[in-house]
Amino acid sequence: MATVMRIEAEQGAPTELAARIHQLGRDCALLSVGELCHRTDRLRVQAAAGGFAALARLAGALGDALAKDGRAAPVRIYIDLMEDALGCAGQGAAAGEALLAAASVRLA
Amino acid sequence: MDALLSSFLAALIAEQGSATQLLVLAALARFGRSGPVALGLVAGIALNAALSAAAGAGAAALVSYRAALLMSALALLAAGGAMLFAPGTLKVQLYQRLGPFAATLVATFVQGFGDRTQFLIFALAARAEVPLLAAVGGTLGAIVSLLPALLLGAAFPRRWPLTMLRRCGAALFLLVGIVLSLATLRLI
Repeated sequence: MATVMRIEAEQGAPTELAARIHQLGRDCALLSVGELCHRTDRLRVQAAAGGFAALARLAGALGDALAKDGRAAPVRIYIDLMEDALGCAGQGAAAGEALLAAASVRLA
Repeated sequence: MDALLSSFLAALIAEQGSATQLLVLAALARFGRSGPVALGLVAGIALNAALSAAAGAGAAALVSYRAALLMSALALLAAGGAMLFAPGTLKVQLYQRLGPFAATLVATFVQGFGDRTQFLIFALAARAEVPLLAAVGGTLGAIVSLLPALLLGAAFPRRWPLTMLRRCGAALFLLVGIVLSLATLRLI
């Protein structure tokens, strides 16, 4: 919860999105791949509706990675970047692409 | 000039696949491609390099030249070892309220503090006649190595042979570090 409050205070992001990301990060080891996909997709839809294009792009990429690699998908890396993406509300999809590039560097 | 060239090359290689490249991408995502972001990066790197070189110059007064050489070998081995692994999570956040320049400067300084490039500049400055040249070379090397990430942005991992450069850099540092260690200890 401290993380959620920190994100909200520092970046002005909506509490619900921050909470969803935090919960996803907390529960990712316990959830089935199907449930992870479901929650990630809900996050993507909500982020897109709220104008968080970068976050929606990352959530979409996490969904793709889960579909492709299942449990082996690097969920933690995407969660970290999604927390960053909350602060990129005004930057559009280009910010999402830059954050995805950061994920690729971490996986290189 | 020896210090300038050696620290330039060391920083150029050490920054391949570093967390600072991640930071560049995070800054591009947060603030877009802009002059203040680039200036903040340069200032943060220069500040770190100056601090390392000053510490290296201070250490040089306390140890023998051979010990300084051994420190260089250790720095190379540590950098080589670190380069075997992809960068982890960023240690810092880009604080939006500081603005692009100050946020990037602070994040670059904190992220680079204690990393492999700083250790290399420190060790090279400790055995340089003019430690300032080690700082200048290290700053220029780090800036040049970050340019591809800054210019290519999201296309950077696709168009830059990051994994190959990181692994080759690691092998080179480990090899030179081993040879320098053995030579300094007069084992070869």
